[in-house]
Amino acid sequence: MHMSTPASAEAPAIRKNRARFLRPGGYPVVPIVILTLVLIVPALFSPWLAPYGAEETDLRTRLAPPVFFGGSWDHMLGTDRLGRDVLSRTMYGARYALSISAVGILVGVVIGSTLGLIAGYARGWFDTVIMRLVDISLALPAMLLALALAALSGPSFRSVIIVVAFVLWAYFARQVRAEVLSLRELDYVALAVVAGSSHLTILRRHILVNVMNTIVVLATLQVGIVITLEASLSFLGIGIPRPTPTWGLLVSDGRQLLTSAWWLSFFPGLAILLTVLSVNLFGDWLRDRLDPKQRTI
Amino acid sequence: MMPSESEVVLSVRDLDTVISTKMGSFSAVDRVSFDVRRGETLGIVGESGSGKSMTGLSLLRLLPRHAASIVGGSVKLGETELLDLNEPEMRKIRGREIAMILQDPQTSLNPAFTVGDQIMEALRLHRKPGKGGYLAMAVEALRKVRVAAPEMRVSAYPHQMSGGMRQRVVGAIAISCRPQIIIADEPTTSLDVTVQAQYLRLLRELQEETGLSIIFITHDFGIVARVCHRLAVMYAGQIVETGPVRQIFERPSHPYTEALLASVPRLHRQTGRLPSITGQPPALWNKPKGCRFAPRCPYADARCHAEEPPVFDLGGTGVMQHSARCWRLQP
Amino acid sequence: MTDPRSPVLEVTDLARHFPLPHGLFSGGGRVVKAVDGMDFTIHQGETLALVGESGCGKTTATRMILRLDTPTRGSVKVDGLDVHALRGKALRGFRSKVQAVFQDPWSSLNPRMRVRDLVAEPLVANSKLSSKEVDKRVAKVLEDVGLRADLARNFPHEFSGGQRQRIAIASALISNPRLIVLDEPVSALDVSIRSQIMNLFKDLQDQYQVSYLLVAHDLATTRYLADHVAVMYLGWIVEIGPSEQIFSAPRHPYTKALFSAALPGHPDDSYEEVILEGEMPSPINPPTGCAFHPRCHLKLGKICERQAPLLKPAQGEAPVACHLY
Repeated sequence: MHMSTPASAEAPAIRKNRARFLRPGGYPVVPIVILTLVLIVPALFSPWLAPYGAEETDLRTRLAPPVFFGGSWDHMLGTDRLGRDVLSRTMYGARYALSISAVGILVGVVIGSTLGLIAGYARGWFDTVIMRLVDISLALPAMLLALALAALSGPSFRSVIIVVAFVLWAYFARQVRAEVLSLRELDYVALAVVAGSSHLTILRRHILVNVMNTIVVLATLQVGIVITLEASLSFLGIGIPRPTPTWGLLVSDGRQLLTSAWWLSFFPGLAILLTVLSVNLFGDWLRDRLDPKQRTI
Repeated sequence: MMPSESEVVLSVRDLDTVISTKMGSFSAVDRVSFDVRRGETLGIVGESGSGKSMTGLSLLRLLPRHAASIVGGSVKLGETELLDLNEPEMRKIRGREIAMILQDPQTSLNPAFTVGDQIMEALRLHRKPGKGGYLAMAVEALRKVRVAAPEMRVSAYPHQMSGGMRQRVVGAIAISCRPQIIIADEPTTSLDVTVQAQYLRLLRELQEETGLSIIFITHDFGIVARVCHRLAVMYAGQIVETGPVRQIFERPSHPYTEALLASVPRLHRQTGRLPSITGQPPALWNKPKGCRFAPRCPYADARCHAEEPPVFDLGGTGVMQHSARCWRLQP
Repeated sequence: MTDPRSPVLEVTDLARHFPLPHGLFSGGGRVVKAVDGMDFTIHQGETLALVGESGCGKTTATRMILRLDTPTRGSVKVDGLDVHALRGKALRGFRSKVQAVFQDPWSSLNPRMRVRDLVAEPLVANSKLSSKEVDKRVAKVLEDVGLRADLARNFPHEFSGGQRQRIAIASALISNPRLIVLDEPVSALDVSIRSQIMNLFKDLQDQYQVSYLLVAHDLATTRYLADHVAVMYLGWIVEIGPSEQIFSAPRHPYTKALFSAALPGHPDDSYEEVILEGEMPSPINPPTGCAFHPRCHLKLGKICERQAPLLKPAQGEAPVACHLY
């Protein structure tokens, strides 16, 4: 009998024709940079970096335009009706965008994925019940829940998280279940049963591990949805209560002065746009990266 | 089974196809040359990674555009140089002069259209309607591939048919425009053994009726023994031996051919231990210097490892022509 | 301890029917008889091959033997114990006795697990050995299948198809099973690798004294590895016996057709060309009597349509299910 040596490490993937400027060296540099500048740094460091406090008013400089449109360097992006600095408030807004996304997605993903795993692996009764719950959940408009919560306990951070989790869990449960359904038919799962491994072991080692990728990518791609959702809720007044400077509220507040003091809505809106776009591009890259190992020819 | 001396319909010389990867470009088809005559079946045999499928795709210039390209050589259909044609001209050749049958009948047929629609699509592209219009021609094509009750089957959907029948439909589409050559890339791999036997018989009969030439790409020597007149053995992107089937089976001249033939278990003969070839075929990006088979060859010497052997002519002309790429054959 | 002369595997009247849903078809309660009464045994150190085309029921049969599916009728006994009646500790005992190697080396190995954990799974699931003990066993079994022991740290995608199949085989061997089910173990491999793996199977059988239940559609592979052969058609066994006998003198008409369709190794190999018309009928609507009669070139007559022939020894030789005998 002869010994074999391993084939040399992964074969190179066929080069894909993607916009190369977005991914020099294969990494999504531009999206990461934008995310860092627009979301992460302000979210973490705004108390130190923001030129003014979020609630710092200065009635003498009300409604000042941004610096290149007739304003001054004191308030680079202009001020609002109460003289609050738009740049600072937008920076503080990043904290809420980040925390709402992180917490909301975490809760929604954990609940949804667990239920999806159970439904997909156990099938039978569990599957039926969980999927009916999913159907019901997807049929209920999130707005209705948000209104109910707002009416019951007033708009708050917690109620936004609940709404976000509610919107996301069902979607995740479905996606994860679908993936689990196809994974459990794979040969190596059958072989694990033949080997005598318990269901829990199989779920952990064979199924969950391989669904993880999908979950991570999907979760990343939800950030855009969540931020926009918060913005809509706050816009309608059933999200985070004023005067918290979330991006959604900032856009909403600038609504009435859109033609005259356009910068009030524009810059927070731009922040939303850049964040959502960058996160989605990052999520795309992540999905490609984590996808079934690079194909060999 | 051998056709008498007949004209060459396809002549391939020094075909070079390159695959681009993140790590650079590598040769997948390396100076491949062969001829196909009218009414003849040429088998291209090799394992995965040998370049046989790439060769088939290259002939019809169906390579995925950003991943692979033909960088040299000549493919002549009659007098026409196919590599010089532009895309619209090439489209006239595909389906009309040269047709292709692929391995998986599941993905070769569109599940949303009836079988008749798909045959007629091909007909509409290349032929003028005859008596009874395109539908009648489609029914006739199904009849030619021995599908029972073709008038009814023509309005069936692919999922309503079995694998063997679907593969016949694929064949019907291929022959409907009366091509000179059919390139068949592992068409029977997914079929059951008895269905495969039917299909191979069908191909043989079609060939006898119409003088069709077939290029049969496969890894299965059994198929080669049953349907091919001539054979080209590929290894690591190169053709290592070409010649008449019987001669190669009886006296393989290249060590790879010899080892491969020896390692295939025979149904009708008692074998002792099965000889096997050590090691594996080289990776695309890591081909050895010198003869590519040398690392696994029981006869290799220093020269084999250092210099790549050219193709040596072993005599015979026309259909009996036999050649192989091995230093041991140097006169 | 088990008597070496008693069969490792004993299958009796094994059947699996799948009920079809009502409603969409006129007259509900129809059944797909994927397997309809199989009997065979395998003794220690022997190989039995199940031969047949797609739809004949061989995969369904193996799933029941591996306890991945429950039979509608009949029993599967390993070392005398009814497999489907086992629970708890006895079930774990069974799991370590019967293992499997499947066709596709790519989907047989979890891409996220290291080779060491993949190979050790049957051992870890059924016994309480220390990590060091497990490592030692993994190293030994890897060497037995022709892989270097230090490769245990690597992931599956770093290996070629043939090597991955070796890893799968190592995993099947580690618990020292009595029986390994081989489901088309070489069909997905390159031709030049197949012979390496087939030789490996033979060597391992000598070394471990393990029995094989081989499912293969390639007849030459079957002949090389099998001591006994059972030919299946549409859910039942039509002919069964020592492989030498079956291959040199097939008697059932389907067996003859199957063997004639098997491709020759050489252009000059003679074969009695028996080409079947049509394809295998659907198991939802099998023909009456002998299921093979619509395609049979040696059909006797009305009896073939009316009465299903029994599998019984004919003229003192191996059993065959045909009215001709």
